[in-house]
Amino acid sequence: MSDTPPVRPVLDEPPPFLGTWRRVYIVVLFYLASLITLFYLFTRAFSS
Amino acid sequence: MRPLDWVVLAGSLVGIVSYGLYRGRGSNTVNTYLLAGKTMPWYAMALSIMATQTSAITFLSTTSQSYVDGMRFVQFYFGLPIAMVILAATAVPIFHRTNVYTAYEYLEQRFDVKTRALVGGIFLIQRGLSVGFSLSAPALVLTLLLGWPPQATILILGGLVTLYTFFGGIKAVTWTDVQQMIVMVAGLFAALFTAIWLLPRNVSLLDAMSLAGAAGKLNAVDLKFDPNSQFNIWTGLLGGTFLMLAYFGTDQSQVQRYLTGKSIAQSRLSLLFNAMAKVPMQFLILFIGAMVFVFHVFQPPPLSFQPLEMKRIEQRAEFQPLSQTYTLALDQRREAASAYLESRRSGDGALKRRSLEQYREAQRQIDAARSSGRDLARKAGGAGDDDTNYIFLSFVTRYMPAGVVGLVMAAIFAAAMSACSAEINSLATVSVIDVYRRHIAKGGADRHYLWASRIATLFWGAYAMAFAHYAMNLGSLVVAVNRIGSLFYGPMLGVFALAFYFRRVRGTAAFIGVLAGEAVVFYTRYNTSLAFLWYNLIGCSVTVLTGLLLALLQSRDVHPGARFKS
Repeated sequence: MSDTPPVRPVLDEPPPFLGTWRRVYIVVLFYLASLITLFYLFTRAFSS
Repeated sequence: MRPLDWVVLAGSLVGIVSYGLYRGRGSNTVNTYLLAGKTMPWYAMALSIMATQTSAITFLSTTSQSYVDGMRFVQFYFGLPIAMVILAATAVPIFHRTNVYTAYEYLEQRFDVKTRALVGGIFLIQRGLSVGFSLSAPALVLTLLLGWPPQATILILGGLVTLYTFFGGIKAVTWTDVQQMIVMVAGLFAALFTAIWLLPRNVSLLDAMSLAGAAGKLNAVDLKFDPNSQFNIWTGLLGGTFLMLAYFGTDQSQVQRYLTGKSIAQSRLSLLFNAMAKVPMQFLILFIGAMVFVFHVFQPPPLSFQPLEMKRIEQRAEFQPLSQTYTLALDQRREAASAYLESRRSGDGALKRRSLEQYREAQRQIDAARSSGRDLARKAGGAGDDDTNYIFLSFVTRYMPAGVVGLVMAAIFAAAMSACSAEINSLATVSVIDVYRRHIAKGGADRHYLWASRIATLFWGAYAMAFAHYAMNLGSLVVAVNRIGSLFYGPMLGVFALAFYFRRVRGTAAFIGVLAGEAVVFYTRYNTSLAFLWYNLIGCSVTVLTGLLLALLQSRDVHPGARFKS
C-alpha cells in the first residue's frame, strides 16, 4: 500500500450559510457569549 | 429492572450493534477501514464526536454533579466553542490537505520521525491507560447498585464493541455512535421529564428551580478568579480552551472522526455543530441533577448513595446518633422548603427570609452529616469515597417507571460503548500506521495492513476488557489514573502549535520542546496545588517557547547575525 490514503481532490467549499467561514466563526463566538450571558442571568435570578 | 426494562435495554443494544455491522460492511481496504474512504457526512461525524466524548462515567457523574456541587461544572465547557472555531480554521484544512491517517503521521511530514514517534508513543500510553476505565467504571457502579457481576458487564460491553469495530472499522464506529447519541439524548430527556413529573403536585418547575437555586445548585456562572478552583468562568475560558484544543486537535480518538469527512467543509461543520450543541447539552445534564436534588428535598435520600459504604456506616456504633441528626436535618429542610414556597406565593417577606435561612442551615447540617458518614465508612475499612457517581443511577433504579429505567440503562451502555469503540479504533490505527507500518513492516500490501488493523483492533479490545477487570480493583486510583491524561495534553498541543504556526521550527527543537513541556507539567503536578485545567496551558506554553528558543539558537548557528522570524 502507499504511505498515504488514496489522494482525492481536497474540497474546500464555502459554508452552506452566511457566505464565508469567517462569518460562521463570528456567529459561533457570538452564540457562546450569548449563552454565557444567559447562564449568568440564570444564576443571578435563582441565587435568591 | 422489570421485564419491560430488559426488553428496552436488549432491543437498544441489538439494534445498535446490528446497525453498526450493517453500515460497516464493505470496509475491505485500509482507507475504508480506518478513514471510511473519506465519505462521511458532517452530521454523522458531529454526533460521533459528541458520543465519543461522553463516556458512561461522564453520563453518571455529570448528572449527579449538580446534586452535590451545583451547575458550575458547565463552565468547564465554555472553552469548547472557541477551540472548535480555532481547529475548524486551522487543523481541519491542514490534516485534510496532508492526506494522513493519523495526526502523528503529519508530525513526521512537518518535523521528523522521532517527533512523530514521541507524540504517537505518548498517545498510546495515555489512551492505553484510560481505555479500560470506560468499561470498568460503569461495571463497578452497575455491580454495586444492581448486583450485576462486573465481569459479565465488562464482557458484554467490551465484546459487543470489539465485534462491530473489528468487522466494520471506523464506519461501524461512527454510525453506531450516531445511534448511541440518539439513545443518550432520549435517555436524558426521559430522565429530565420523569424527575420533574415525580416532584410533589404542589411544586411547580419554577418552585423547584427556586429551591435548587436557594441551595446553590443553579450556580452556572462564577465570575470570581481563583486559579486553584477547577470551575469558574476564567478556568473554563482559558484552561478549558487549551484542554479542548488538545483533546480535539491532537488526540487521535477525536482527530480520526473528522479525518473521515468527505470535504473540509463537512469536517468543519461537524466541529461547529459541537461548538453550538455541547454547552447546552451539558447544561441540560446538570439541570437534571438539580431537579433530582429538589426531588430529594421531599423524598428523603440515604446518608450515602454508595450501597457498600452505606452498609459499612450502618455497622458502626456512631451510626444511630448520626442517623438521627441526619433525619432531623432532612425534616427541617423539607419544612423550610415548604414554608419558603408558601412565602413566595403569599409575598410574605419576613417568612421568606426566615424560611430561606432555615432551609440553608438544614442543608449545611445535611452536608456535614454526609461528610461524617464518609468518615465513618473510612473507620469501618471503606475508602470513604465520594458517592457522586451513584446518585443519578440510584434515583433511576428506585423511582423511575418501567421502560424509562431500561432506556436510561441503554443510554449508559451506549455512552460506555461509544467511548470505548473510539479508543480501540484509534489505538489500533496508531499502532498500525505509526508503529507497525512505519517501523516494523514497511512496504506491505494493502490487504496485509488491513488485517494488521483488524488484529490490532482485536488486541486492543481484549486489552481493554482485561485492563477493565484489573482496574475494578484499583479503587480510588481510578481517579488518579484518569487525571494522567491532563499531564500529556499540553505538550501535545504545543508541538502541533509549533507545526501549524511556526515554519522555522524544525524537528529537534519541537522534540526537545515536548520533553521540556512534560518536565514542567510533571513538576507543577507534584509541587503545586494548581487546578489540573491549567496544566494544558502551561505544558503548551513551555513546549512552544522552548521550541521557538531552540529554533532561534539554531538559526543563529546557521546564519550568524541573521534575525529570527516566525
